[in-house]
Amino acid sequence: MIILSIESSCDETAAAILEITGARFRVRAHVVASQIPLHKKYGGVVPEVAARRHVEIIIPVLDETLRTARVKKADIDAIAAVNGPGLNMALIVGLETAKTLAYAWGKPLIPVNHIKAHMLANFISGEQGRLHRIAFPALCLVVSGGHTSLALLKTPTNIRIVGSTLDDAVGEAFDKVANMLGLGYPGGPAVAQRATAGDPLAIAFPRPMLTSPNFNFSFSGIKTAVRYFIEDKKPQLKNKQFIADVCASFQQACIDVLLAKTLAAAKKYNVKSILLGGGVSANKELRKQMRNACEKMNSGIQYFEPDIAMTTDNALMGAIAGYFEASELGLEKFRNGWKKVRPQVVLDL
Amino acid sequence: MTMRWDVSTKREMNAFAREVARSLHGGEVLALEGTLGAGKTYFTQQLAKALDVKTAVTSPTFVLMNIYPIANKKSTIHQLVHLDCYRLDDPQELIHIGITDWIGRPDTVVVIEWADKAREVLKSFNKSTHLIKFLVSGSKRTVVM
Repeated sequence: MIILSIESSCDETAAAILEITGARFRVRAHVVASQIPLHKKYGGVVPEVAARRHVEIIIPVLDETLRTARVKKADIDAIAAVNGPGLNMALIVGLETAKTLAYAWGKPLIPVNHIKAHMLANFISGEQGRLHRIAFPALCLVVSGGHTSLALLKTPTNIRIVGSTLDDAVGEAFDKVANMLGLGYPGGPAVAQRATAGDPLAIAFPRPMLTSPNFNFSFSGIKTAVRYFIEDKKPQLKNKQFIADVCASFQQACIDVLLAKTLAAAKKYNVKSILLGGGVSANKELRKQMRNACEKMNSGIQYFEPDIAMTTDNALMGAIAGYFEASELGLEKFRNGWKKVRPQVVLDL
Repeated sequence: MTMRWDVSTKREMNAFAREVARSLHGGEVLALEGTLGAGKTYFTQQLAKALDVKTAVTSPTFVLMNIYPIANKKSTIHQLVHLDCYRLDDPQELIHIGITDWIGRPDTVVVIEWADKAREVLKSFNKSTHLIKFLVSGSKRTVVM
């Protein structure tokens, strides 16, 4: 099956073409607007937030995707597009483009949930190979700037959220701490980088909801604790070691909560696999500590993490999600999909 | 007339949010200003609770806009729209993300965090905007409205 996938739910405009035959996959094209020198060709820089840029860049992204994939429209079996959750004005661009193509080419159109797609990114590594054999039920920790959730996957398509942040997403907390420390934007990678030279035990920041009897999170309090901690230490903000210690201690506070909740949920639901997903899953320390924790549990739970290029928003993950939807329900169900699919600002799994 | 409230404790902040909620009928725009961790999102959560929003209100910084339905069918307010200008370099982006669909709608209350980044754009809508400033000094928190 060859799937053309389109993503435009928030900041990124992206398209990808994925071929899956039996248990083997091949990435035919994988284009994300902000990551390629496309904007040089088409003028202007791609800003961080620009809902309107989706309109300007969607066709160049598609053109690049189809050309690099060397795929003709006749070869494409289905089109997958994210229909939510996301910003209406952003979603509508990718979705209407996908609907137009589906209508003009007479292809099935598969609507894809953005958060589900982040989880299913774990099925592939590299450009080609075998789909990972993920044992179900599985638990996925989705961590990004906009989302922090724990999801229980009974199958690749039967997924439900079992816990979420009650205030800030963890990626947002990283970003705002970076801002307070003057580390610039985007802050997540900057905090993680400074943390490598710091002592994670230097400052005892709080671990909110660590012992709460559910799988919800809260990161707003850690952010505010950092704010209060540095408030009367302004001169020290120039001290590299001080910054490194704050970053390492803050990062560890976040990781402690993420790990504890994930492991507790894994036990409760008796899962066979633990997965990571979302932009913050690129954090090396989180990966390392989650991997170690899974090994230590010694319960045969398998641990998966997505390729770094698949952690932030992209269309390849949507192609995987579309593939599983089609495998589960059959492509016929999605024929004339262009008639029905609408953007869903709020979209439950 | 500006009013000053001491909201140093959660209890005081909750009471303030309930008071604001009682004054809303729909069509209002609340522009929130204040530094990181000043309590803007916390205030919005409590306001949402008082307006009978049943789902968890989370920070819109990254997703830019969240829309929450009001559960109480008798309320004249049908949804709370929660926006955030923190990540916006160009305030015009507020328009591109679809704020004009909601601003001034009589069945909608719009709450905008980091509104100081978009003062000009908000003025251009010509709708009455209620400014709420969140001030922090040591452990003392004050709101000015």
